Amino acid sequence: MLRFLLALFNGLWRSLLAMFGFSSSQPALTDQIEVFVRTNTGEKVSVSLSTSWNILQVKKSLASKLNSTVEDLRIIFAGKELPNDMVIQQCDLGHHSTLHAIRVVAKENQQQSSSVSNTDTKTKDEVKTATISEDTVKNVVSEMPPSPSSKEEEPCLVSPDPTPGSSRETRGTCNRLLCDASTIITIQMSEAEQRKIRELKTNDGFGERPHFYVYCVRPCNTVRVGKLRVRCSTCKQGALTLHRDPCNWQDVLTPGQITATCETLHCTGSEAEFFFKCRDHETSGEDDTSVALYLVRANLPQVSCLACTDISSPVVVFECPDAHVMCLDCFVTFCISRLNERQFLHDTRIGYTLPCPIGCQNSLIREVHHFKLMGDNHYERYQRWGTEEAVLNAGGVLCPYPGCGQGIIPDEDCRRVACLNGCGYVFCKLCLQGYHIGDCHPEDGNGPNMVENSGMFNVDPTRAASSRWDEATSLAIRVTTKPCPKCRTPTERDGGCMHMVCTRSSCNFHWCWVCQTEWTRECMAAHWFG
Amino acid sequence: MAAGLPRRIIKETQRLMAEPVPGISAVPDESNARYFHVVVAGPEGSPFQGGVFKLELFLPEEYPMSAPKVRFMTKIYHPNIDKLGRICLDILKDKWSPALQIRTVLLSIQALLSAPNPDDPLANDVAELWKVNESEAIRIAREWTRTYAMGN
Repeated sequence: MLRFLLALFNGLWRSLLAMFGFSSSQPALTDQIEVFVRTNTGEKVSVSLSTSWNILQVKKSLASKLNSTVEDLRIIFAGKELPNDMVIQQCDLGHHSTLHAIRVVAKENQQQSSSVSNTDTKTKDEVKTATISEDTVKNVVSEMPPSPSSKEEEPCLVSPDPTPGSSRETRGTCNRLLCDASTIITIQMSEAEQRKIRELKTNDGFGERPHFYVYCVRPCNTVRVGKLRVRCSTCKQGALTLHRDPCNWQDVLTPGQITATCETLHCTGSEAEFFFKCRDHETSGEDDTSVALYLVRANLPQVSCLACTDISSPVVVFECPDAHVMCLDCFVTFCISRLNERQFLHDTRIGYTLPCPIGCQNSLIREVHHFKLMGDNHYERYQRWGTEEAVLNAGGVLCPYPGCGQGIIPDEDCRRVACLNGCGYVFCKLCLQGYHIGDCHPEDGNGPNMVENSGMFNVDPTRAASSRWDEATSLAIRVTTKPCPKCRTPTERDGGCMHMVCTRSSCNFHWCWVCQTEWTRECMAAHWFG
Repeated sequence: MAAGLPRRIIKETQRLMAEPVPGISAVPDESNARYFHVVVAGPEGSPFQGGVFKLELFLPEEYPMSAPKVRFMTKIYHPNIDKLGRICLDILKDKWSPALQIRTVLLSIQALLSAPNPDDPLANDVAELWKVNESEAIRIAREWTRTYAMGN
């Protein structure tokens, strides 16, 4: 009977773990992992742990290696001191992750503050460890100092855990871990969204698990599930304890939002610095970080994509008030099609970016790493065009020499521009032709070969010889296109009426193909269709 | 259905067949699932009432990232539709969004027949007459409807 109850309890515990995303989300192949342990005095040792161990067992195995005692060690991971009864599996600890071991003697001053919350853990520790191996724990009385975070008031007005009946309140000194589902949900969602999710959860089971997503440049080169980590903004070490839990993206992405106590010897740092790691590859060290794609979320409420109408996960959730949702595939197609039509917008603060596909106000994508999802080739093109757009918006010009395109910010009052760091071509700022004295003649075309008699033509002859193909291209452009009267972007008319709209989204000038001036009612009356 | 057709197009087609928009039929071509034969009934109270207008609708490769291409096949006297059947409708151009559908496009075209907008014209002479002498314009529109849109 007792055995049956135990089995039942065990099963319940497992399902609780699964509910919080602890168990299967980690690609743990065996339950043995090798982790690095760094001490506040600079030592670094590597230890092999079983994921089923609790922290007390970790301390025991560390004590001899670090020449310390179990009572004198505190284990810190991801901004939290881990309580003795916590099991490794719960901590989002991967192969080659780094734990921080603090020798309590180093910071005496925190000893006295423990009282109420600690007794709870103490008794629990004794009970729990005793059941595992009675003989070894006789004199291990955990004299754990409390983490400073337990003394802080919870600053967010959200309930600490979105799922009722959690096991979390029994944990004593430690608040939420950074890897907890509740932390992820709190950071990613507004209170209203959280409420909605809670309703859904109670209605139909567990569904998806929340995750952070990152763009892992190396080695994965794709979007991956990410792990939130924290370090001291001064010494860049992870041996610090947070004074409060992050509760929104601003806390995580803006430096200096959350204070912390750094345990590294001689470090006076007091600010937490959050960063992300890719969960799919074994970490290659502390610099192996990734950029958070904060618009990408697990599709917990099962919203269908606005383009393909399928329900998938993860999805991109735009920042517009309606929080429009697109699946990753459609997001990529959307970005590429906008890029092909050169319809990205140049924003002075954000850079080259896109709004929500519906065109909602204030929905520009602020983290341009999201465009990495387009793949390397498109992203390279995105970067080039973004730079060009930035140059043009800053009042600059692009060197018109075929194949050059160097961005130049010319002097304001001078029409003569020399491509000094590029091909050396000297041209007129106004008509983008070879530099000339006197008025511009736009009908002369825009190839450099048209201005040979200007006397100011200044090109390396070997370069000219190697660019025949470019010349042919330039000829083709000259024959088939007309420049936008406002920004001079060569424009091809591939059918339709004479009413042109500049293809450069930041220009958008309405002009007449026949008059090559602004589109008017007169153009409409006289030669709308030619 | 043709292989490689996006699920969205399949779903939209199924819905168009199962719950057609009143007064509009849209049937995919047998050999090309991206090409639709569309028939719109002239809305009641408009000069196009009683007419049956054929249109072609094509979903380009980029659909739904770019708008469907729609054109009137039946001649129509309307200030926003030119003599080649091209339609001046913002959602078919710069106001297109991937959240719009074939259904919404067809509804907008039907609405355009009910409420011609001579201030944003595509067929200039038609628009001019519509503004100067509306009753004459409406008379011609009725006549064209009888001549071209009631034959079969």
